[in-house]
Amino acid sequence: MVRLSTPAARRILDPRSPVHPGCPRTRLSSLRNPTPSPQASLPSREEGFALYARLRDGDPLASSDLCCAYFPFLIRFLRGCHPEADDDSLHDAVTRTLMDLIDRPTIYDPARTSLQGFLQMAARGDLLNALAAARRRANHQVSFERLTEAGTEIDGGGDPLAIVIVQDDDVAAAARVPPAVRAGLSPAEAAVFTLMAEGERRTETYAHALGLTHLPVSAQRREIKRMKDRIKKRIERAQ
Amino acid sequence: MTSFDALLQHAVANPRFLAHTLETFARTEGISTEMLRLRLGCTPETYTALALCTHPRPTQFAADVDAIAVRFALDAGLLFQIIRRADAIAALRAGGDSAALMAARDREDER
Repeated sequence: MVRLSTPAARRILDPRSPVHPGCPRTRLSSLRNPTPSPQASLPSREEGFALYARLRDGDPLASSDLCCAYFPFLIRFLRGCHPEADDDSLHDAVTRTLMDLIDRPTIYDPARTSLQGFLQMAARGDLLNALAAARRRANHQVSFERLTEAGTEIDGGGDPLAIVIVQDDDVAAAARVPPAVRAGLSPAEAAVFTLMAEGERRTETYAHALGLTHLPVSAQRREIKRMKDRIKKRIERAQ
Repeated sequence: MTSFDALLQHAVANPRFLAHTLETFARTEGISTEMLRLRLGCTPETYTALALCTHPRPTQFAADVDAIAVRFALDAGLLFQIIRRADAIAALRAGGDSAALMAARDREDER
C-alpha cells in the first residue's frame, strides 16, 4: 500500500476531490481533443516549419509534438541507412538529436533546409560519430590486447598507460584533422566527413545522410561534391 | 516497435521537461509515476507525450497549463496543482532549505 506523505498530496491525488482551490479551471474533460500518441504521422514541410516556430517560441507542447512526430521516423531512417547499428545506438543518436534541438532551437536554420532534412542529417551525424567512437574504442582495445599479449616493448617501458597514449596518438595522426576543424563542422558536414573518413564512395549513401534523396542524381552529386570540397578546404586551411 | 525510453530518461533528468516535474512530485510524495499517471487519467501513451512537454512558461503559466490539459484531456486544476507543488519543492531544494520543507509539511500535518 502506497502511503502519501503529505495532506496536500492526499488532497491532490484523491479522485473524490473535485475542487482544487486556486486553480485556473477544475475540469476540462469535456474538451476532449484527439490525443496525439507517440505514433503520430510525419509532418509536412510546412507543418515542420510551424512546429519549429512553436518550439523556438517556447510552446510547451512543441517538444512533445516534435518527439512524437519524428522519433519513430528517425529510428526507421537510421535503421535503413545503418542496418549494422544496434538498437541502443540508434535510440541514443535520435534522442541526442531531438534533445539538442529542444535545448538549442537556434542550431536549426529554416532558411537552409526542411526540419525533417535537418533532423535526418543531424541524427545521421550523431550516429556516425557514435559508431566511429565505438570503432576507435574497439581498435584501442584490440591494439592494447595485441601489444600486451605479444609482450611488445615500447617507449614507456611497457607501462600500460603509455601503450594507451601511443594508441591515442596513432588514431589522431591517422585522422589528420585538427580538433578545431572537427568541432566547427555542422551536423551535415560532420556526417559527410565521417563517411569520407570511412572511405565511403557511394552517392546514394551521402544523399541519404544529407536528406537529398528527393533530388535527381546529378543534383545530388553536385551538392555532395560541393560539401566535400568545402570540408577539404577547411582541413587544408587549418593544416 | 519504437521505444521512447531513452527519450524519457533524458527528459526526466532535464528540469525543462514535465517528465522531471512529474517525477519530482511523485518521488517527493512517495508514490509511483504509474499511480500518478492513473490519477491523471492518462493512458501510457498519453503520459509519455505529456512527460515530453516542456515546463509551462512562467509568463503565461495558467494558459500553458490549460493548453496542455486540453490537448491531453486532463483535469487542468489537478495538473496545475501538481506542477506548482513540484516547482515549490524544487525551489526549496535549490535553496538547500530542507528544514523549511519539513516545517511546511509539519504545518500541513497539523491542520
